[in-house]
Amino acid sequence: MTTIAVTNAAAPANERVGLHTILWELAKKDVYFSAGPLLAYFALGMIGVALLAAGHEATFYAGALLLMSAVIVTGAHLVFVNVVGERGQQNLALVMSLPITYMQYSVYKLGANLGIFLLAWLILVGAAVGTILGKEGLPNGLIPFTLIMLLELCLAYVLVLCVALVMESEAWTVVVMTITNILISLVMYGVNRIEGIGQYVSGPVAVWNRSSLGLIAAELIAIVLLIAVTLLIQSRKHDYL
Amino acid sequence: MNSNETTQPLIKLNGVGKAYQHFELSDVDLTLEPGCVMGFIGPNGAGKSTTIRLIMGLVQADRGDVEVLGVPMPEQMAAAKRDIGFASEDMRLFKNGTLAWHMNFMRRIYPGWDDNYAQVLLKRFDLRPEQKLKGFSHGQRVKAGLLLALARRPRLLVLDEPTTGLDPVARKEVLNELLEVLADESRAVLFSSHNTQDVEQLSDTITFIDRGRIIDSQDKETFLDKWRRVRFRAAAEIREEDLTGVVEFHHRGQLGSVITDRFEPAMTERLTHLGAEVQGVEPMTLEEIFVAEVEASREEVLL
Repeated sequence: MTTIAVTNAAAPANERVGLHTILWELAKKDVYFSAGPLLAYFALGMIGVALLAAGHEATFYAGALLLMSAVIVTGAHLVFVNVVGERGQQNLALVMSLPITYMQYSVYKLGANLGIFLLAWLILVGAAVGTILGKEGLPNGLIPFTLIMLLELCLAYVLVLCVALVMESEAWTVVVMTITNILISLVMYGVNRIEGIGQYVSGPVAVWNRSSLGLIAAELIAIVLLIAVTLLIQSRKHDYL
Repeated sequence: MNSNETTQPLIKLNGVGKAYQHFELSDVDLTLEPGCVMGFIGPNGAGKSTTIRLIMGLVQADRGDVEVLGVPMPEQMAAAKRDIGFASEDMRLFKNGTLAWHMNFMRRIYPGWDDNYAQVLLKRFDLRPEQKLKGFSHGQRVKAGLLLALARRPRLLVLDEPTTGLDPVARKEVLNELLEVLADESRAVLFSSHNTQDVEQLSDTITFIDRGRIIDSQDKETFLDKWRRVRFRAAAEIREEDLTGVVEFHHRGQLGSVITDRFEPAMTERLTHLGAEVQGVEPMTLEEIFVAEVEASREEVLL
């Protein structure tokens, strides 16, 4: 066997990379492998926002549909590429060979994928609300309803992300995602029927009352609870692969 | 590195058990000393991967203690994994990342990453860093995984079936590289395989596992020195009980054979004394020893 002399250019053995650096590198990895499609979905969402302002009823509905679809597909992509796909394609063994615990992995997965989603979601929400506020002919009364519905999509995303992490199953993730998507139309119908919300949708002023604020608060609390329960379950797991 | 780090076992499993619905790992005791290459041999489904997952902290033992690099697992898995290079046939790199991306990723996580060594390995393994992993053959993927594990210069290498599915050339390259790694005697390698030839070539200690139980663990030379097949011819009946250290015994017609794990010249003398003509004392390959061990262990369980 020939021996090749190797100069060890390695750093001192006792040098340690901090946990935050490792988790940051993992988060960057999730962005890196999702960036292209996510930008395309984001562009789709922005086209949806632009259509909201086009001034016709048909383009408004097409814009709303496109905006909601962009949010849904962004969430689906993140979950299926970064959580379900990572397990299914046996990348998880590589990730778990790094100096992190499973709990740290769970925190990173939730944090990174929620962060990426929220970045796109917040810009789209901001653009949608700004468009409604700035465009003559679009009633400001739409704003609470829009926020409630977009927050519902965020809640559905968090639910699917948490299920994917906890159940570690593609099938369960698909089932929950299908149910949440079916529920969107029902939620939209239901929210519109709630007293204190539906009757103000076409009004000139955004009405923030007990119903609209209560619903937004309930959605935010549900998101926080889902994350807390997920972390609790993950902390009690003994087998990670 | 302090003196404790160079002398204490890098892996220590004590009475470890782990039960699944259709499989149980029972009372596993295993010690890997610095500078040691342990071949971990077992048939498919014997418990090799489960044991390795316990060592990596990826599953938690139901009972017993798992200590790796001096810390308990899985409680301190993050600390231990800073000094472990792990490659497994179940582990895949990111198909949409290039090898260069993976190398940069590891470099940022492991300060001990050795760029020069990584370049040497790239050449030796004939890998192209700019190529995406999805374009790699199986052999190239295995070599890429090993490169990432080796170039971080870990104190402990844990390799789960690293040569499975490799063509003979790739297998030789991988085995040669692992031999090279052992130049540093403070490092240790745990190397699981069902390919006894690879293990025989590489290991200085061998552990056999079957059906979730460690059935033997010794240094390779002891295995190869002590195991013998003795062929004899005898008209008179010779019984297994007449001999000691018998693992397997056959005597049909006039021809017979004894497999022993404690061969001494006294055995041939004893056979001669019993009226047999000893026709040959043959050394056994590791594969033959392994098969004999497994069969004997299974018979013991049945009895």
